[in-house]
Amino acid sequence: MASKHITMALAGNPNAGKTTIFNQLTGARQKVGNWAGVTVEKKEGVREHKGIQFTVVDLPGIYSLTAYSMEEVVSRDFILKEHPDVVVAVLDASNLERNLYLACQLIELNIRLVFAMNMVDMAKDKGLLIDYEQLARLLGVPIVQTVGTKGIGIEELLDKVREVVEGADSVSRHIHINYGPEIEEEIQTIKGVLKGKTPEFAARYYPRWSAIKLLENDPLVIKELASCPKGDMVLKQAEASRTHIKELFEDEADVIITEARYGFISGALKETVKLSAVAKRDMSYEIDRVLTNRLLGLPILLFFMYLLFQSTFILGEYPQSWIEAGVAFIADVMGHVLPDGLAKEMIIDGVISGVGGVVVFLPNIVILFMGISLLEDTGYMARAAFLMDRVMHLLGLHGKSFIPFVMGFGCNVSAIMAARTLESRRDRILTILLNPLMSCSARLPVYVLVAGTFFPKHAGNIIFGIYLLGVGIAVLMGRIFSKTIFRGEATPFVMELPPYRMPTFKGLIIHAWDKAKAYLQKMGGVVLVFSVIIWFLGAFPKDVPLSMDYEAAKATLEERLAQSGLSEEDSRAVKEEIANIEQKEAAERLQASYIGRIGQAIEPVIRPLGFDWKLGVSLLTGFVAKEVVVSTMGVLYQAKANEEEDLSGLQAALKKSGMTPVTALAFMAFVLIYVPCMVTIVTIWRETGSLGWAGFAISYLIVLAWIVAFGIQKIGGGIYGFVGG
Amino acid sequence: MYLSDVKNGAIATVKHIDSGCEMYRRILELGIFPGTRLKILQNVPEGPVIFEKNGSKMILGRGMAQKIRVE
Repeated sequence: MASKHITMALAGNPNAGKTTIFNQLTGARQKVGNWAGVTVEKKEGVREHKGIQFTVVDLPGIYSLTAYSMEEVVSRDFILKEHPDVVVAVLDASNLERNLYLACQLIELNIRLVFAMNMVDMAKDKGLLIDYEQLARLLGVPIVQTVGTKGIGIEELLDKVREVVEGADSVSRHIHINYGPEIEEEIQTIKGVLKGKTPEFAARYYPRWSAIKLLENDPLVIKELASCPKGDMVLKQAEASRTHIKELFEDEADVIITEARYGFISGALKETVKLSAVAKRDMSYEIDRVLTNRLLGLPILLFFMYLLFQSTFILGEYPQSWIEAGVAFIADVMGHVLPDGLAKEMIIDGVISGVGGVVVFLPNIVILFMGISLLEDTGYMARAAFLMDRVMHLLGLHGKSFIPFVMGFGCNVSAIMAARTLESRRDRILTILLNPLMSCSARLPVYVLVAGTFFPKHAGNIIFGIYLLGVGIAVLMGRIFSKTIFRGEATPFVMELPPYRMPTFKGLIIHAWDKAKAYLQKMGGVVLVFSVIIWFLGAFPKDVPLSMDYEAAKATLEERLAQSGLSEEDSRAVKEEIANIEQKEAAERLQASYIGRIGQAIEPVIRPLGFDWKLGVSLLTGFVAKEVVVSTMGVLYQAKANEEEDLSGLQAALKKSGMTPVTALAFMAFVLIYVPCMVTIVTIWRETGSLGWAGFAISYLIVLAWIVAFGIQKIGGGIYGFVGG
Repeated sequence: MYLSDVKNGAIATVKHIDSGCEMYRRILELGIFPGTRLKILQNVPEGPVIFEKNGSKMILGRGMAQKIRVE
């Protein structure tokens, strides 16, 4: 029967090239990482092929189908409960033994399978001669050879999937991996009890698989079975079988079963794989000798990080000035074209000041993300995890946590989701709680603005210092947390070291474009809305009691200006006075506005830090998204720099506001540490599964931010006062 | 001798893994069990170990390496 619609799930080891195959299948523009477990989310895509609609679901990268990690549970649940028409296992041909381990477990599920034998070119380079046809026959699963990076074999894969769904494939048959007479006997016994006592469960999952899982002491199968009527009788039998096997082999049943699977695999490989003499030498060894060197490794890593942040600032400067000029031009045009009134005020003071203030940082963010994805795609990130293992132990974590930390410099949301690759809940929550201290790219505009204003010559170094401050505090808090709330050892550190890969230029560009698009969407959405809201709160109420009649004062001055016979000097002085009065008026109006009242209400809390109420309001709105901090400043400080809406205007306004370099430092530190953005909070909540942890993250970060900013203000104020006075 | 004591560049054969169930299975799943031959590429004192098995490289934390007996 020809079906018009086929759902296929992609399963496979991390680094087997699953994401690349997924992209080739669906054309989805998304990232290919190179370290274990980049695909933590379930991704879907569609593809038309020869009149059939394929829905492709990308499952997270896994090594096994136990219930060991979240990814495994997610993948298994999808396969067992959503019943995709076909599961395509993407296998790395250059690393067959371990990849086939997962394949064996998929075979045991008794589902429709196709193996996409990926990276066949790399296997050839390694000198492996593999008889894929023979292997397919042995496994009872059709094999399609693919090279994901070049798009080879994708059409054939879809053809094969269709054949398997239609039952037209000649290779497909269900094989049993033989676990030896003793274990097979126990499997039969459990299967018998399972079918007899819990027929409903036996119908839900393939009974042989359930029996094997029960022997393996799989917590999820046990839990599900326990909720079935008479399930306890099956569990009792399973318990007895496990004890029996332990007595026989003096080893746990799950260990025996794992060894038997590997035995089966090595048997199959012996028959199908030959090693040719002409193996290309892998460059990875030479590179690793330097990059993971005991003495050189860490300095090189630090150098790369330093390079990343410096180039973010320096390279970003050029396109930044172009965008700045563009924004100024638009503001100028709008100023002339639009009729005076509220709408004009809103567009120029709200939208252009707010959004324009933030959009100039687009180049910095794109460069930062490109740098991070370069580290990932080349495979360097896994080396960094290795190098940082000892450092991460200081935080009570191990090297693998370093990856979410580095990703945090891009965006805490994706970084917190990447923490799923950590096996233990303790490591995961600790990594998540510390992650907001990794300064995300949305905070970068604040630093670029403030550091650029107050430390124009050393902005790059100051910003690098702020990032280091975040890391330092993370180490400190990690130590405190792992000695108090999270006592106990970090789980063992096991990770695959992928071979180095040359990142493709196209991939980098696609990735950069993705980030730019996301950033611009944020500008058009959240930042735009909040700029208008902030403008509104700042512009209303209109009829506030003023300390003097500004209009009258202005009118008198303007009259004087209109008089003829004023010397040039005099007329300039009068003009200045008008500007002064206008500024005073605007400042007074702002203070009396809604936002001024909110700002003054919170001012007592931030006064000790040296922040005025405008900074306070900016921080408050930054909770929505960190970019909004700058756009709010753009709108609020506007009052003093009405003529120049561009960034240098904002910089000038900040300087005039009485902010000292010390306050600037305290402010940057505060922005670094205090509450992460809303989306991050929601992600923490989702990933930890508890509102409590999200609340804890908010409160400890706010308190910490206050303490650090206060410290900087006190210490720095002392030094500054001493040097300056 | 334990995996954590092996010098850089040496080849070791796994003899026994002295660890709890869950971790043991995890290690087995990565294809390391008694009889497996490993080539040690980087053994950082007090740090993790990088080794190679069948052409693929893996990192193992020190804690784990101290539990794998090798020859």
